[in-house]
Amino acid sequence: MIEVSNVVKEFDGFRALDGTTLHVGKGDIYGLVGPNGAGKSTIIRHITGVYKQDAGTVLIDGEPVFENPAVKEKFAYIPDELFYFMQADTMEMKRFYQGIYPKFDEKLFEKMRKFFPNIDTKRSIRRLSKGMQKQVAFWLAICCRPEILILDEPVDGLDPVMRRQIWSIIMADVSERKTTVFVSSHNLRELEDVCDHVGIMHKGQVILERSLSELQGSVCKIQTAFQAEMPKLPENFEVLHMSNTGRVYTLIVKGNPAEAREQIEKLNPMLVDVLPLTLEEIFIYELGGVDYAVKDILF
Amino acid sequence: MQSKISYFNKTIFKKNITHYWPIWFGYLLVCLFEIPFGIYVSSRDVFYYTGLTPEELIEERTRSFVGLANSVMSPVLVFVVALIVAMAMFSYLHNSKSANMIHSLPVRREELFFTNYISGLLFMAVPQTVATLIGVFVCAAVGITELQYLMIAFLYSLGNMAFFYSFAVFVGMLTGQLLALPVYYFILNFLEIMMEAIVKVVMSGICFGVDGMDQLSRLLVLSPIYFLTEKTGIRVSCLDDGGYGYEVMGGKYVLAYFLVSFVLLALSLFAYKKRKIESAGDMISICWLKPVFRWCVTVCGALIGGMIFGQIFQGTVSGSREFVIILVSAILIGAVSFFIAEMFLEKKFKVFKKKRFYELGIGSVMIVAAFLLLEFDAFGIESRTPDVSEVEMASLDYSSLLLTDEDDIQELIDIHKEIVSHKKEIEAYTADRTNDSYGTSIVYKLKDGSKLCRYYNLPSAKEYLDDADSEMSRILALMGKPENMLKSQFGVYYNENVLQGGYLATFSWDGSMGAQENDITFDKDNAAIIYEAVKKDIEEGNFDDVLQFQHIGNGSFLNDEVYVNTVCLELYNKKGVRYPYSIMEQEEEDAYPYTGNYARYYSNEDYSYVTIGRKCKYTIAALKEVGVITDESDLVTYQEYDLYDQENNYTD
Repeated sequence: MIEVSNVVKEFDGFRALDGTTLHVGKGDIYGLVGPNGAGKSTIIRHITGVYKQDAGTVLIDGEPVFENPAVKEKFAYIPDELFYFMQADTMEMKRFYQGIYPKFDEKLFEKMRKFFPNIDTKRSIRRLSKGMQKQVAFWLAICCRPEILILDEPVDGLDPVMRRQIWSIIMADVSERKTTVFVSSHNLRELEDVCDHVGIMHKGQVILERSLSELQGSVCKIQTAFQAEMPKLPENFEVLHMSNTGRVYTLIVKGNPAEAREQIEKLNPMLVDVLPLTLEEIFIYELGGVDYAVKDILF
Repeated sequence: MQSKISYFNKTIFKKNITHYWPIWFGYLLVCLFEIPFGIYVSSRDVFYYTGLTPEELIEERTRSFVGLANSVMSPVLVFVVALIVAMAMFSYLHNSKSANMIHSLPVRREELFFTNYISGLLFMAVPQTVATLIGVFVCAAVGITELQYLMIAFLYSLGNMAFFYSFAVFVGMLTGQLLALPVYYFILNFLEIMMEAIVKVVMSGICFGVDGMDQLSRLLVLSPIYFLTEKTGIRVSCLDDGGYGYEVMGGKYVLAYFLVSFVLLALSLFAYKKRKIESAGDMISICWLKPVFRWCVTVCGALIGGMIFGQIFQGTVSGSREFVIILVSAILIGAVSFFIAEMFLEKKFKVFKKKRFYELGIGSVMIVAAFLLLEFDAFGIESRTPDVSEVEMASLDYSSLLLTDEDDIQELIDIHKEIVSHKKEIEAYTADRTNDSYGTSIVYKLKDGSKLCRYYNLPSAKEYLDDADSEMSRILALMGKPENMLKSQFGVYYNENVLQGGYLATFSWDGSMGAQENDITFDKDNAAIIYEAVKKDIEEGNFDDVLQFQHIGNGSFLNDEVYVNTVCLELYNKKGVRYPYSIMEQEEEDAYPYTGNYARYYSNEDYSYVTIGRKCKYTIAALKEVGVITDESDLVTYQEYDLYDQENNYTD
């Protein structure tokens, strides 16, 4: 659906995107994670056709996005910093989006009104709270009936209740229409519950791009204890990290969790327990060697 | 799949109308106030005039209406409104949030551009049209039939509108800062005239004889608001039958600027297509324009610095020192300007990079080279004197003397060449401010319509005046030629003047009150006698001392030769009492659309003030003959005047 290949962008000599490549499949919920300044918003502005890349290609459904209204009609974009026309209220913005997006669904707009009982649609949006402004943005974006939702830090700065509400709106649309979602965040935990694909961006490059199941199926945490010292592990047993507290050893192991358990059990342990890793743990161990400000995206 | 290109978006257009209604509504109110209401009020005012016949009332009403049409066609209001509208229509480009949002919409830039451009144009054109149409009805209601002037004013306004709006839009495309837009717009509208003035002032400090107050060049068209304000309007002239004649001026210029608006439109679209949206907030949105901006600011700063310090030290130091002062101040202030421009571009204070210092160094060398080339007259500016065949007319001494005769012009050119060849001596002489010198101008109006203006401070001490070959003596000789002097004194149609009367200023001393002026009047017959006598004295060269006294200004040795008493002659000429300067300045006169009764520089009546000297025997005899004086003792020389003042313990 979205194909970004080797995109380069420089701002006054500073290379913000340095050969960025990423792929988002149809129906995916793709989370782009990276610390501040990694280039997330910049690549999103290329995907939405706002910026023109210095090199590389940005395609949606095989078509270039820049200056291509037919492609741009397919997505709705909610930027990190929202913009509404001065004095415009929700109804006025609705009429504007209705005129711009041919597939805008007015009935859906009315139907969704009940999800936003606190929003005064006759009040200037700029006078609404930040959370309400975000809600208006989602309301309008979903009513555009997009095939792709592109969200840049969608819940940044919102309180937990509002975050949950926003995510539930997105997920409802995804489950109903199989919308593709491309979402960026500098907080990995935010995306863990919703994304099925994750890309990590660092210094203008996507350094890792996988599906969540692939990631979670390839690394596991094993807690085990032996009568004596830890026996010699098999040759093909790839341990990413090992620590112990007394006789209890915690191993982070690369590979299939079931096979790992089988191999450990062959060593007659007193105890063996295989646990799934959280997304943040996977990234810590997967990217352990990369000069990467991993803390910035985890905490 | 690339969608079909659309050039207009109804939704964005509607959004513009509903969001920016205060602009078009405000302009509509202004137009209604200016046109229909203005017509109504001016037509009413005329009926308060007293003592006019019905025909004269109609004439006055029409004149008042034409005056109103003239103010409607003035580009000043449109100049300001066009800027406001352009700022509003394209404001989304100057804020990153709005720029990102708008450009993520499924709308091409062409569509955005033309929709916003057309919206803005209609914001101005529709109110103007509505107000003009209502104005037509008001004209019909109050009985004004000269609607053509209102229609011309309307067309002028539309033309100006298209140009200034396109210009403002174009400027908006060059910057990413909304607040920079009005600054650039104003600067670019006045850049040429400002720079020309500054360059001329700087050149006058560097180049010998170059006049800082020289006339403006044809490049003035590059300062549109100034040019259009000067060149367009309705000229009102008073006709002999008491009525008024109207001449609409500057139509071709409005048309030309209107056509230029299409070029600006195309350039704006091109700039928009190439614009990087991330430039929102930048002082300059086009990369390759950034060094241009930096160097324009640097050069402007250098010239302004040179001008300021050149003016401060002008005449107080020698020519070469003045040049050094100008050069050093230009370099220093240019460098400061360079880094200030860089700070604006980079949006930070830390801009002192090695790379920039190299750039500044190279630029400074080029500025020094340009100044040195001017100083050593590499472009032949100082030494330029025209060939007599190039000259249509020439004037001397601030156009008090006009030369049209080929021999006279040749003589002036020869004097001019002589002055140029004595540059070093003259500069050395005038550098000492205690030396007597006299500043005089030489202006050639060339056949190609241009002017060559020079200004020189010439040595005028007695030994120079006694030397018949000195430049000053030769200039005075040229001025003293009877024909030339008669024209300067009594106008170019001096032979057709009809005398109306006059007076002689006499003086008496009354204690502490000092000199009291008593004017002794005489009638037109006596005035004619005196007039003829003055002419005879001029023809015989009896005004030589007076001429020297008047033009060298330091003629203390002539104080006992020239009288304080002035003969005033009241002249009438049906062609107008026209002095040489008005002919020389005809071009400027054409530029001014007079809307009052003063449709020209000169009127049919004027007073000529004649200073007389002891040598003016015919004039003195005539004054005696008509009984204004009994003998020469009734007249007071400058020396006697000072003496009487001293005797009466009176100091002015």
